[in-house]
Amino acid sequence: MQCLEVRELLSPYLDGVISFAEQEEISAHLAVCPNCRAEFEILCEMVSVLKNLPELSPSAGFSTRVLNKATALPPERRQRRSPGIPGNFTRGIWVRVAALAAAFVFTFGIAILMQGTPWPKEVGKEILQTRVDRGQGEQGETGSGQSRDPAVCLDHDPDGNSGPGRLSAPGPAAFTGGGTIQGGSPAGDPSGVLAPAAQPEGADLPAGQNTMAAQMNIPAANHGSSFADTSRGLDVPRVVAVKEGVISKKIAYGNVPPSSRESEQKIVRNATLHLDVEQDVRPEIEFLARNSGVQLAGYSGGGALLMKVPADQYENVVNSMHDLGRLTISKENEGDISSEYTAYETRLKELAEEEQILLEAMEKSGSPQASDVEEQLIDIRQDMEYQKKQLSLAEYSTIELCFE
Amino acid sequence: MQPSDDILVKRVKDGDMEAFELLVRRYENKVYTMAYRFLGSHADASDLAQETFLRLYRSLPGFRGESSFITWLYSVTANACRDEIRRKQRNPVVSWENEVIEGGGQTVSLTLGRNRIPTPEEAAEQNELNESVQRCLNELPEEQRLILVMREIQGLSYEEIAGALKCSLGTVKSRLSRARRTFRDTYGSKRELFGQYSRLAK
Repeated sequence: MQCLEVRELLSPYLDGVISFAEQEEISAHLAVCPNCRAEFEILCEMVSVLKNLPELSPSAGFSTRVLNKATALPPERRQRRSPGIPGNFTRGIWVRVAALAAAFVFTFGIAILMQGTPWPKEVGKEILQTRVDRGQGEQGETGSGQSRDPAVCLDHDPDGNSGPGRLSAPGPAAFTGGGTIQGGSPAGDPSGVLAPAAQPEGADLPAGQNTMAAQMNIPAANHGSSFADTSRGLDVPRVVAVKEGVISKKIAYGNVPPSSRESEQKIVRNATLHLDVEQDVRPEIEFLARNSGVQLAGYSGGGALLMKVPADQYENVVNSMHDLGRLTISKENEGDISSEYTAYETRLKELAEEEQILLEAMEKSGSPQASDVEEQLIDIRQDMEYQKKQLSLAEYSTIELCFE
Repeated sequence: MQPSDDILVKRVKDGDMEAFELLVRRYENKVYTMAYRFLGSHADASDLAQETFLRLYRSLPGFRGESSFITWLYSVTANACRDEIRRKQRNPVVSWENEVIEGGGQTVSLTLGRNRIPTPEEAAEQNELNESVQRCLNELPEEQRLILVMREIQGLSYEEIAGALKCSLGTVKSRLSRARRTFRDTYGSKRELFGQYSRLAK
């Protein structure tokens, strides 16, 4: 077993939820590989740090308060909710809304990134059409033939333009089963408006299917080309993965070619400031935060505030706070976060690769496992979003502001 | 002897409020801890725990015991957590009262030396560590945070998590693996940034 495989399995290995053979193999590997052993030790340490967190109890009188509220509920409300999973249906809606928003932002971002690349000519005509089908619930059964449709399909530039391929979502591409990922509809709507489209007749999808707009929904022009595109599925995931890589780079570096910045160190500053104030200056600070792109968070017992400051605004923000009261800097240090930055990038690439593998697996199987793979895919995409956020956050300096 | 969950559930269905109170008392620490670890604030956790029990109460008539009561309770808690996060995303507010320090709620001490009382220094150090662990948890993506809390803090089995989150065992495995990794990365970078907690340094 390679180190990489071993590391993927360390978490289930720790919990003893892998096969005996794998268990043996990993034990043998750990005995001889100091790097993986170190990795495993860190994992154990992390788990024990979490396990050691104390159990908490609510303030006194909690059960009485709950009881009073429960008694006060009108009788019909006590009965109305269905068992088991309250909130699950509404959850579905919000996942879809979030996905829709993500698709929109993503498309918008791409459109912006395209400025200055060789193929912006059609950007203005881009149509984003996303279908949000309201499912009635989950249907566990998987239909036989449909899951061969890929969720996302690459439209290989029919104009012969050799620039980066455009991603487009094919027609009724749908994986059956609970919570499917679904591309947009081929019916191009030139108004460019996000419009919920009706399920195409004859698409033969089980009723009550839960569909979800794919996050990768980046339709380009020529969208209406044909359903036939869906057959080109196999080379797609790779392109998607590469695309993700490119996108993450662009997000990370703006539209500047990476080569010119790659070697640059990422420096952020971390400071603890004490502000001696006579009155409540929180409105001023909120105002300052809004103007300088600072993110605020409540922190440590109310007397302090955590500020995430864009690197270039740091001086400006600190100077502005001098006007609010007597400011003392009790701790200030600079950190080179280049390595973490690279780590996030690497992780992002790994995730893109995992995604690719899953997409391929999904395509090959036709299959009762499909919804499982989908869940993992959704997980991975969520994780990618997170890593991207970290990547952008990495460029922020942190100020811990304590009020005196 | 304490009546079992099933018996209490049956009694609540028959309108016995005392039985409901027993259930609340039995599980309030678990639900509250999960809510707090998930949200990172005592005020929010208290509201969320209350909301969870009210939801539980409302949907109890329909609970037919397909899963164990505790799995069902966690599923209701998990959904309440998710909904709360979504509500917050819709109405973002800067919470000035947001406290991360242990002690806003009473800590049931289970940590540090098994049979001895920690010195004040040890207690302070432990508090600081807990606080930074909580801060790292707060930063994880919501589903990863949820699964990490369920597995490491509540100690649920993979099967129970799959039941509560309505997903497959494979998903539990991969999501947990990913969550642990993210947590480790977050925790690692924090440790470097603040240069503390040398006991975790390699």
